Amino acid sequence: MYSSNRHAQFSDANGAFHFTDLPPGHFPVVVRKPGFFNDEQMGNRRNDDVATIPSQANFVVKLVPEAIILGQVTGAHGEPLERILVTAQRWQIEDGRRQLQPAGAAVADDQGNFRIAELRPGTYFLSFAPFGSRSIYGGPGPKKADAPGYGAEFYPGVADFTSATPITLTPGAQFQADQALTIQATFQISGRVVGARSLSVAVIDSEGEPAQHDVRLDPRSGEFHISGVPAGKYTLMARALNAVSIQVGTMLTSRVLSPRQQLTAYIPLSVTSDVSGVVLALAPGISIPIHLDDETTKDTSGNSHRVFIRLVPANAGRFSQQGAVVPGYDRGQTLPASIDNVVPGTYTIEARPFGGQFYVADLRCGTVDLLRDSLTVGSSGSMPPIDVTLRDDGAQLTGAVTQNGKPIQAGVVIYSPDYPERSDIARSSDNGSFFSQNLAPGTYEVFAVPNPQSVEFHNPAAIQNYLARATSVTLGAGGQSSVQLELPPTNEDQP
Amino acid sequence: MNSLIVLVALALVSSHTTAPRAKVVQAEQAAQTTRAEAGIFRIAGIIVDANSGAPIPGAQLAISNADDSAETTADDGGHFSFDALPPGTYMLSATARGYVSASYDQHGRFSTGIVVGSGLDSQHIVFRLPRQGVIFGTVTDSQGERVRRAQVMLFEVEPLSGSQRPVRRANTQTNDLGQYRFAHLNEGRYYVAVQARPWYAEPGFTHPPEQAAGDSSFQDYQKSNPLLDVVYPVTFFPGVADPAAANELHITPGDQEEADVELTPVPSAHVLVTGLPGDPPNGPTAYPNIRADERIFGSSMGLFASIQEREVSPGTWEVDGLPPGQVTLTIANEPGPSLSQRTIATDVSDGGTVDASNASDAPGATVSGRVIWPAVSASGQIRVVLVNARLRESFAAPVRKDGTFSFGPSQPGTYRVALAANAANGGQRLYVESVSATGARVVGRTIAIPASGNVDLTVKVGFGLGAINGVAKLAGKPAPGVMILLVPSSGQDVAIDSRRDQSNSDGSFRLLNVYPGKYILMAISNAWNLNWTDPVALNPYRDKGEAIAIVSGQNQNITVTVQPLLK
Repeated sequence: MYSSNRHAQFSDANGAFHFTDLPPGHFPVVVRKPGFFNDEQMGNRRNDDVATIPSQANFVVKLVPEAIILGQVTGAHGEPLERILVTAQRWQIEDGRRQLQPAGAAVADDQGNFRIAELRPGTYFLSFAPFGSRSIYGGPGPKKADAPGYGAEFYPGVADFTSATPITLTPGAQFQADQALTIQATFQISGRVVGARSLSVAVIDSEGEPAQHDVRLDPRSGEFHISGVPAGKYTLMARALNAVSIQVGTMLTSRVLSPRQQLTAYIPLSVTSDVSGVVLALAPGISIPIHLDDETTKDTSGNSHRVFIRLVPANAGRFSQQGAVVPGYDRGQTLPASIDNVVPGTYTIEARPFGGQFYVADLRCGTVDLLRDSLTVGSSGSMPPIDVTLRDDGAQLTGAVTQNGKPIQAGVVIYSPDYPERSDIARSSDNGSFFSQNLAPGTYEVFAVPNPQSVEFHNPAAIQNYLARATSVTLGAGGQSSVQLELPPTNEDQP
Repeated sequence: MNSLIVLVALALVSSHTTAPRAKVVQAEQAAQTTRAEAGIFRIAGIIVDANSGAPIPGAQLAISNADDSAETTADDGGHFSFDALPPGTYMLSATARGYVSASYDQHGRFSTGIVVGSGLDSQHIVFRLPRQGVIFGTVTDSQGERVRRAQVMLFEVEPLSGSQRPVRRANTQTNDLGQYRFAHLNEGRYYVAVQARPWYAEPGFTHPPEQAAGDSSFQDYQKSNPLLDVVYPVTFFPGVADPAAANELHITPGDQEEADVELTPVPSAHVLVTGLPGDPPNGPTAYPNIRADERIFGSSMGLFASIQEREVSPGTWEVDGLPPGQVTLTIANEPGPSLSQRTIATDVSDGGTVDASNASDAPGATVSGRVIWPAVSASGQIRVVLVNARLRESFAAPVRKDGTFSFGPSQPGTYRVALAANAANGGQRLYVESVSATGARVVGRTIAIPASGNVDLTVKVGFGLGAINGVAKLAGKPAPGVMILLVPSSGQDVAIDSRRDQSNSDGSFRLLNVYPGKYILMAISNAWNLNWTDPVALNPYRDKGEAIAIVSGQNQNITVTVQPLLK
């Protein structure tokens, strides 16, 4: 039982607990137990888990039991396979974007057995991949016939994610997912890297994950041989290692990232047979300069005028999320900032001002309006700067959310049909009220959802179903508006 | 052949700039030799159960040398082959379901290398693979409930080392049923230790924070609740905190031993750390990073039990979540003018106070000095390294252009002086020829750093360690799988200066990086359990060994006659 002074005890064999001598008041009750999820861990924040003293007599807390995926991985002859990494992934929405994220993983033991526990109810995709460098490959010296091996597979025994069968787990479910891996033909990729002596070569799969293959590299000639590559689409990547690797700063750091440029090369490859003669020409990594146009007018000295810029890959992959903090601003001058060593691809650009005083009025790269469109970064050439315009005449939106006339905690989606990237989410408090400021002037569709993590609010297609009950609000510069929202009683956690 | 050479090369690979799952070969440390020669040779044979002699179908075999590697799978009759190989010496290793992972005729870190080339038979190998041992078990708490996510560590009494000290072999984590499993174990003596945190544990603090005068911000703090402020000490099978009381598991081929471990929570120890810098005016909070290590079987091991810290007053922090007993606290301070780190060993059982600024606990003498170069030009970055063998820690200082170096304050203790040089430019051929110092006692290449004062160190550097290429012969024929031993004739610095190898399939062996000096070279069959570091045990063999003078930069060729192990 939590409050400024915590009270804690264990429940008895019947699950019963008694707290005595409590002063009158409201006490949030939090229950924890391995193998179960409490409301907070389930992503819900409901009012029912607050005990009111003295009126509370019999208090019932419900926990959700974990689900488990277990099974055995076997090889082509039915023999158990060990050192196979089994990963359970699920779609998750974070900051209004849908991403496939790992929810749990296990490595098959010497009997081929694995268990992935602590899974919340939901829908999962299971992948199997050799862990470490266990793929089988041909001998050295003159090339032999393609040696077969095990490559990555999805449940139930399919090669790619799009044909994988989702596994839906109810609370407490134990799902048996035995998988016999298929021996696949594997191929060799060979070629030469030019442009540096100290370098690395890696194969990236279509999910943006480094694929595990054996890479051999001759330092003097730059020649490389990669063996054990199953058929598929890959990106071949070379990097010169003498550049310093850079840690991407978190939102909270004020440090300006100024990485030294790496020498990089990327070549997309579709492997259906051996590939030879690939030439990876190293070139300085692609940098995108960031310019900050500060159009703020109020005296906000003491506030640093900073923006966090993030490149979100347009595909679901987790590879290459990159970010930069546009530096602290001293009136009249910005320090140079850039996002360096950008991996070629298509990105949504996210720009978030720090300090809670500003909004991004404009965001573009050359002729591309980044508030509407994604940015494609090619494998060579230079990029025009990303121009960020910051203003401080944002609008305010306030309101209240009710359900059946009673105030409720909920998520409030503030959706911009004109600029989906500007869409935002607010949370109503216990008394139903919510507040959002620094909104760019414009028209918004506003509606309440039970769970802020349930809506892809940057995605127009995902918003369609909600628009019928949305309230339309037009906000002018520096304006203020208020809305009343009703949360429908239906369970919309999984629309 | 010494498989450690390959392992060391791999360990030097920096993976900072690469994603962790990508297997990347980096050019800087890659092979020196070319792959020009067309492969025409073959390694082939049969892999069998070491005990029954029955073939092992489907076994995974691999060969590797500095240039290349390859894997193959044995057929249904246990037959395997690697074709089209260039001449050379290959390390052959194998694993199979239900068997250990081992190199051919493996003894500790040595194995018999397979030499292929004209006139050599490398096609009738019989690879005897021992059945695996398995140690498995369930970790439970004092309520009998399964403990998930416990870290289980496997220690093996190191064979052939003479030290009898258990070293860590493997790590794993319990699953949701509290189960763990270590497979592919070699015959040996093992210990199981478990680290875990009670799932209900919540840190708490015993010292209320002091309110600074004029500070209006109320600092709430979480008071220690005896029910929840608990830890599991590192616990050894079958459920004891004292390693001396731990049960040894003796594994023989084919054994499956169950080793269940019960964890008992004890109150968490609390320590006040004083003497830390307070927050700089107008600066960010100076938040010390406090880490705790415990020594398990003599090696330092990070405690992952949740260490919590809280500022009680400026410069004083309370640390909670420590298991009672002797721990080593490492306290790093950032930000500041520079990162400073202090390491303090203390018994935290009864709590108490640790003064992080106390000079007697904190760094000792200041060590600096100069390098005297040999008459060759060395380029590239060269560092002087102080290796504390007891703590298995080392500290490095770069050598400046004028030959000087500086370590700053160093913890008192005994250190071996060594060099670390870039492998390029021949830097790896530099070695420490002799060491002298004022302000510290020196024995050979070892220096004892005192608790205070200034140590002025002079390091004389030689260029070109020696090497031996040899052949072991018995009755005039090449003898494979024999222990080759090179010990200094003086009988001093035996542990550091001696070199060992196992003869290859053609009787050949190599001893590398030998300090110049006088040695005795011996080849002894079946000697892998001989405690050769013991002068008494080695004495009978010295007389029949070959006396050799190793000269700087020279590679000697020698034939040595195999001696039988004396009963």
